Amino acid sequence: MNDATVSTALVSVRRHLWREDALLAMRRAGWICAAATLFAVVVHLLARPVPVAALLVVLVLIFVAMLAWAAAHRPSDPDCAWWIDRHLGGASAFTTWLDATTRRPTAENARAVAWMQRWAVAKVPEVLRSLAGPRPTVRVAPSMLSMIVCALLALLVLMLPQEAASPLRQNSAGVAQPPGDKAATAVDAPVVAQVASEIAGALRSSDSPREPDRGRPGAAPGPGTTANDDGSGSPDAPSTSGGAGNDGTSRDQPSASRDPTTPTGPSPSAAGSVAGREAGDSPDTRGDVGTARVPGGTNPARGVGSRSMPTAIDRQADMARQADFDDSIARPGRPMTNAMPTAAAATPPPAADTAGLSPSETSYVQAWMKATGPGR
Amino acid sequence: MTSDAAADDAFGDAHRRLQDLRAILERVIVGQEEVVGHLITALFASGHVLIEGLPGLGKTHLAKALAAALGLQWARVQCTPDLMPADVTGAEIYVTAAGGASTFAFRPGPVFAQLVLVDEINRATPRTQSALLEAMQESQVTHAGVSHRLPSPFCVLATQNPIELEGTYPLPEAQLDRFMFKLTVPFPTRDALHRMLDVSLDSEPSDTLQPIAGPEDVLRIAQLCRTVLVAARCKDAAVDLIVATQPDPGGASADPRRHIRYGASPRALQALVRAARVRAVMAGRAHVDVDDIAAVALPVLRHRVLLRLESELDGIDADGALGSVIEGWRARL
Repeated sequence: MNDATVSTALVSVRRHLWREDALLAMRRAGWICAAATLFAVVVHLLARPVPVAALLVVLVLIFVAMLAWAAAHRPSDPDCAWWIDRHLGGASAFTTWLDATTRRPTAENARAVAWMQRWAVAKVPEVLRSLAGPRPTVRVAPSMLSMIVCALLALLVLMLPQEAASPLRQNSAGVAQPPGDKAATAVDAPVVAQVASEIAGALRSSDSPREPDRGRPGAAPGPGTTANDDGSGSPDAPSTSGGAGNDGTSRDQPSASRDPTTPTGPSPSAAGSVAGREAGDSPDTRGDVGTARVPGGTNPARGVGSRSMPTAIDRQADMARQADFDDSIARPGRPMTNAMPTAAAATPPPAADTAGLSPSETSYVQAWMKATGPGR
Repeated sequence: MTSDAAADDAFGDAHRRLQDLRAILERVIVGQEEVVGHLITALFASGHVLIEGLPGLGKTHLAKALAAALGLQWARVQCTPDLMPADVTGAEIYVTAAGGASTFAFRPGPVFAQLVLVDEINRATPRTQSALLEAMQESQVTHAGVSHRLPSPFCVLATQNPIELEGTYPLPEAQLDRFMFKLTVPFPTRDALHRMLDVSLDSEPSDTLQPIAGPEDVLRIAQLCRTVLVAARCKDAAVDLIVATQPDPGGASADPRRHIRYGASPRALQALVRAARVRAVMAGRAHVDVDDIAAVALPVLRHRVLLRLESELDGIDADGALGSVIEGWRARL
């Protein structure tokens, strides 16, 4: 009778502890699943696509593993007795009761065992009442909510089209790329060079109408700049071929237009270089129209408009000085050199800036062309 | 008689008597409920008590009331530096019988009482202290090669003053270990002081106390307390507490054990469980709870640990360090 009553309390407490363990496992599983889904999203966006099915399988496995752990973690009788003693006012009676049941009472402590059993049995109803009453329990809701939110977010991201996630992956891959490996950016170089050449041609032909598809309509020279459209010593040529020849520093870099992959046909840039050769004898690297624009970006239409050198205007060449061009530098098949110009030519603002000129810069170029055109 | 009925008779009676005794003493000793409870615990656990408190807090009054309530024979020894061991234990004196025959006869000292109040024990010389403490440990006095058993029950209540330490002989650690409890008598509260005026202004209430039990009852209840059950888990908890008092100089800064130079002895462990058993009977149980151990932990341990000098200079006392130790121990249960 006594044993049965106390055993009832132990069984009830074991059920309670088991349920608490299950809730605890669910809470842990919820947090782990939330973290796993976030990790999957990051991997999907930055590294490689993650299949939704694989993520779901992982989440299910986590839940199953945690619940299996809780199911296997059956509270023992001493654990239940100790829990009653510590949390339900058992005052170590149930632990002592378990000890007493495993060994035979001696004559000395027989009265103590009897008194203890009576005490424990009398305590059982109170224990059961406390157990049935409101007790602080494991809070599962926050972790479950976090898991659901993260799972929805993950599903949303993972089910996006591949094209949406690919730029992020490319960017992350570019971050990881070694500095010397410019293969990815070199792919866009011919396009940039071609667009730059078109702009140069437009600037050179002052009579040509404004092309609406240019990135910067104001970059095209106005009708008033048509005095020297024959190309001989025309200021248009330097203006299209990049005034980097003025200082020969940062803009005299190897051009993507000299790349073997670059179209080698009669391009406006080549024409500009030829025109520059007729104007002087100094080496001219201004035919390297794509030099400063290649690393600019992936959008050809906007890349030519890069205005990365605001001090270029300050370093305008002496317009009173005769330009000295070297047409051999633009000759096809000639090895590319970074030779400095021997003399600074009187050149208009660099083509790189011209292509992306601001209104004030455009007006300056037009004024310069007006001023220098008739005299030459 | 069934075992349940016998248990009713034994433990129920013991519980009632202890509760009655406590109630009587608390009526007489106003505002010192905790000290009264510990004193009863030590008496029924066959231990001795060292009481520390300022003069006038009722230490002597407490001893007299306890002896009167239990019908114990009691004696008082006022310790001074010239107190000799024979003044405490007794001496042989030359006596002449009625027939004219003369012989030496042993005349017992005050230690041959059931409740001995040793007032200001730290004023006695170490030699006298040793004689007294030997009697406490062995419950006997050996004189001229003859051992004389002390009466039973036997309990020593020694007092000492925390101030006026000049000319005193502080008890060494080994002798402090013989005391089961070291109690500190706090200053009463304002309400307790008011009640004290009502109770003991013109008379000594302990003089009028009627005994509610006798020495036999004390022995019987003490014997019953030895049968109280202690679960293995409670024993583990007691051992853990003693281990937790051992010094750990390399511990973290938050670890209170870093203040301890010497920890509690195995004798402290025994005293801990013995006292916890009496507390269990006082609570009406026949089994020890961890809370019983916690309740007696501080009076059992406070005179058994030695703090590091640096910690003492920082103003940390044994109660402070042990309080943190006990708190951490309970949190780990």
